[in-house]
Amino acid sequence: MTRRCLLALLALILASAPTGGAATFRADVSAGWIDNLSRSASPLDQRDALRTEAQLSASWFRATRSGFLASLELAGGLTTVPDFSKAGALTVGPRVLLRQKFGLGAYAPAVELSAGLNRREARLDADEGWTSNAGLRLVKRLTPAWRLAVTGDWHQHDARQGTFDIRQRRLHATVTWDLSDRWQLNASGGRLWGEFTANASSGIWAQAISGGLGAAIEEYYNTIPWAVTDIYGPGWVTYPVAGRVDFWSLELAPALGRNTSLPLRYERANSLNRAGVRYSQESWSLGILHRF
Amino acid sequence: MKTLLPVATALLLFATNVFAATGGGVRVEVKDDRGQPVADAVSSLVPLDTRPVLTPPAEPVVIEQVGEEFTPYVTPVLVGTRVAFPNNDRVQHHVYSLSSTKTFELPLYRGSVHDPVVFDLPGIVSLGCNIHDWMAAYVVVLATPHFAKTGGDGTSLIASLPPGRYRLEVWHPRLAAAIDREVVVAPEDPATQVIAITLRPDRRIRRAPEAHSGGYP
Repeated sequence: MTRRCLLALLALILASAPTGGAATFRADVSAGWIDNLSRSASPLDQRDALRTEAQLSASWFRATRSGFLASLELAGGLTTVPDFSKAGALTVGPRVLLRQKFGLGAYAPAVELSAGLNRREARLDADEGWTSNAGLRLVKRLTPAWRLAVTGDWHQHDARQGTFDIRQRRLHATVTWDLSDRWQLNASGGRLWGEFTANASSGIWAQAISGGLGAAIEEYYNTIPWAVTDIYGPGWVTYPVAGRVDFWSLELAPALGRNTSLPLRYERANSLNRAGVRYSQESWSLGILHRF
Repeated sequence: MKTLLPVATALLLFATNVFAATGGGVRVEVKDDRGQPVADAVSSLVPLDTRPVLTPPAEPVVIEQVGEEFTPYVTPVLVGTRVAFPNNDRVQHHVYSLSSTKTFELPLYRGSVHDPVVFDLPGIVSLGCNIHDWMAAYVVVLATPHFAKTGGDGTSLIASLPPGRYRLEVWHPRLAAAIDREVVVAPEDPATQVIAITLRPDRRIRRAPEAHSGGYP
């Protein structure tokens, strides 16, 4: 999907959809410890850090009698990494969601089509730009306690500098198990294909592009753009690679009342780039979600 | 307090006279396996020796939608009763029932735009909202005018009962097995029936917000 198509879709939906009804506000705040936040293959380069994220959003809904629901969400988010301030960013933008429910009731299957456009104001000027995404999600509640969702989505970031341009596709599934009225367990897994950024210290990068880490790496890394960003220290380099990422997560989310939950989440991602370089990331995070 | 005392005395005298004039009553006390009081249990008494007179109320019973919930959660009504479903939320609701006792749908609305629904067959009607899956409520449609619902203390009183034999039935959304027993109502005898029930786990759909799923950290 091209950016022009996405913009046209967004404009169409914004013009026609959710104008009635009251806004629903939501706050998501989380803090997490990320192992290998730097996305580095070399153990010497891997940087772990605390990352905090906060997002406020307002949503408007409009439903029709045929089981169709449209929502418009305006969200602003802030990501900070206290130890590596250049990894922080501010995002703001709209997201629209169209949902068609096939039948009546909680067990009726639903198809959701979503599209979003965000302005990303990153601490690294080169990473600033527009992020667009679109997704298709199939949701089916199996029992009062079990729900299954399968999502395919597309994500593109057009940055000020080509080093930070990414295009990704993901396919993932989530199983939700409500252990009780209070406790919920989510398991999610999937695969990402496309481009993503990685980072290396100046020494490791010099070895990579000079053949010190192998001919395949040398050959591939000399074809991609890269920039000295100092993101995780003086001389650090950021570069985009093509490859795939397998990711999965487990989340335990107790409800604190009817409109608040406290998700504790573990995530793991295993990346493999075109040159055969592998690395993993792990994260633990604790969040609080509140619907006002 | 001084003004409440005469009122309370009058109510007590009235209640005493009602029992004396029209018969007895049955106080039902519902407890779970652990001896804790059970709210929202509907007790009904079906006369075994006479045929009950079924006269639905002239005014509709109201099940309100407020705070994106149905209120009350459980509503016992006499068969033939009309029930209104006003939506007093700022958002639209889409009330439906797929229960065989009464299948109906009140498509998206706010306020009180739909006519009340007549519940014309006895049975249990499960209500939901097609927009907010967690919203749930029950209408218990009874073929007897003698019924009551337990409050937070687990008790209810069915008063003004003609003396005689009755079948006492108890229903609750989480009831594991049907409860019924025969009771004899004597004049001026508000006997207490203690009912111990086994509750299944509460399987209402969770309302609390969820995180956006999956990602690349």
